[in-house]
This record gives sequence, structure tokens and C-alpha cells, in this order.
Amino acid sequence: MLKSKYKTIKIIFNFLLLAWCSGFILPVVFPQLTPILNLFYRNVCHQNLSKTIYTGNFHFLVCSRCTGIYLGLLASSFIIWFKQADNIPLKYLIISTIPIMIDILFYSFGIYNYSKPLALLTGFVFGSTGFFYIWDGIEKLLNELYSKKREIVE
Amino acid sequence: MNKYLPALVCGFAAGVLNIVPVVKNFSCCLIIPTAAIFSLVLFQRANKNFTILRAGTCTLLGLFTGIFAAIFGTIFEIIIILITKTSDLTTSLPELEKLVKSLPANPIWDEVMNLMYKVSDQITQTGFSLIYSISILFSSLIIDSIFGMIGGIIGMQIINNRMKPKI
Repeated sequence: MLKSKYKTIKIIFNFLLLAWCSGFILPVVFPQLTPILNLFYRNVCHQNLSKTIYTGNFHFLVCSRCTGIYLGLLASSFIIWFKQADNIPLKYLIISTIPIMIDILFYSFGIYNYSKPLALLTGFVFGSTGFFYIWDGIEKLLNELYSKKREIVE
Repeated sequence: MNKYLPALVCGFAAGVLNIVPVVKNFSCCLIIPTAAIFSLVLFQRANKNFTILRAGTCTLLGLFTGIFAAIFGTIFEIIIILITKTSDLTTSLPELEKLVKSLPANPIWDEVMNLMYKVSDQITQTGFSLIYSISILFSSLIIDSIFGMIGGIIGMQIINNRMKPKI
């Protein structure tokens, strides 16, 4: 019962993340949707045009780093079908934030100019690692909810 | 009250930070999740209970942080629009019209553009548009709540991980 529920929730997560990632890429194909979609993405990204990915005249609705983070989350949401992640040590999450910190510091101090591929890559590393912690937390939440439900039934 | 005060405080802070351009440039999509994590720390301190946090409590606190952040963020944004009489919509409208004109003609786009111009005119003339304000609040509530819950879950992992006995 519990396992099949998890499968359903995994599918829902895959679908939601796919929809979210499609949403910020969609204006490249349907630019007329920009104002409506922008209402959602403006809350989660500064949308600085010099930091967003362009294809032709159209750009993504989130910056390169956020694109990386969300694509990383999406990638890991598929990986969890094959690799279970229980109680992962915190050090991996900390390690995955180091490239982002270094990148922000280096371009802020002018050591190098802002690089979209680098921002995308550092974001991807953080996002793909972060998802395992999120999923582990969701599993704990589900376990709590089911054990509560079981207590009520008994 | 002790349960929701940390969410209120951190939600308020996130609402303020969300409209500060420099801060938003650096922290980007991490403001709300970070606020949710801080609300968990405040929650523990307020209740003087430093035991393992439950996932349900963390998710709920994250959700409330997100909701408060959305409410305060929208209020601040409405105030800024009221003062400046400009918004993202008014500045992006000419570009949008160019894009729409370059697309195959469709009466729906004309209607959408008319509505956009109506909202934009209201903002430039009075500094307030009910449709725009509701749309900001609605979208913020959805997105900030989700990001708040994610922050709550990550926060639980971080705090509980720190409490594990080190062998």
C-alpha cells in the first residue's frame, strides 16, 4: 500500500517538475504566454535579462542558475526511481552549494565575468543534490501521515 | 501563537527581501526556502524544544512562512506600484505588443492585449489595478507556499541531521 502510494507521488512529482520546467522554457515557442507565465516565475527569480538563456529573440523566464537548479531537480526526480536516498549526510548538500558560492563570489569581485554555462552547471549540481533531501523529507512526511492514519483506524 | 509567530516573522522578512533588488539578485529563488528554514530555527528557540523535528510540523511551518511571505510581498509591491505608478506589466507591454503583432492574427490576442492595456492604464493613472493586485497575490500564494513547504522539508533535514549523535 505504502510503496504504491510512493510510486504515485513520484509520478506526480515527475509531472509537476516537468510542467514547471516546461513553463519557463515555453515562451521560447509561445512568446504570447510570457505575461501569464511571468506572474508565477517573477516570484522565484530576479529574471535579469543579462543572466537568462536566449534562443533567438526569446529568453527563458528564469536566470541561468535557476534554470540549472530546476533542471537538476527534474533530473533527480527521475533518478529516484532507480536510486533510493535515505538519511543522506548533510555534507553532500553543503558540498553542492560550494560551487555556487564560489561562482557568486568570483564574479561579484570581478575575478571573471558572469558565465551562463557556469551558472547553469553550478545550479544543476545544487538542484540535483537538493532533490534527494527534499524527497527523503517527503518520504518522512508520508510515513508520519500513514502512521497517524493507522493509529486512528486501530 | 508560538507556533505561527516564527512563520509570521520570517514570512515578513522574506516579503521585504523579495522586493529589494540587490538581495533578490543574489538569493533569487532561495529567499522563501531560507525563510522557512529560519522559521524552524525560531520555532525551536521559541518553544525551547530542541528535539528531533517532525516532518508534518516543518511542512506546516514552511507553508505558513510561504503564505505570510506572499501576503506581505504583495502588500509591499502594491505600495511600490502605488508610489511609482509603474509595474513589470507596464514596462514590458510595448515589447509584448511587438511580439503579438509578429504572430498570426487571432482575436483572442487582441482581447488579451486590450485587457493588458486597460490594467496598464489603471496603473499609470491611479497606481492601482485590482486585477493586477489579485493576480500578484494569487500567483504569489501558490508559488511561495510550495517553496515554503520545500524550505520546511530541507530545514527539517538540516536541523535533524545536526542533532544526530556523532559517532
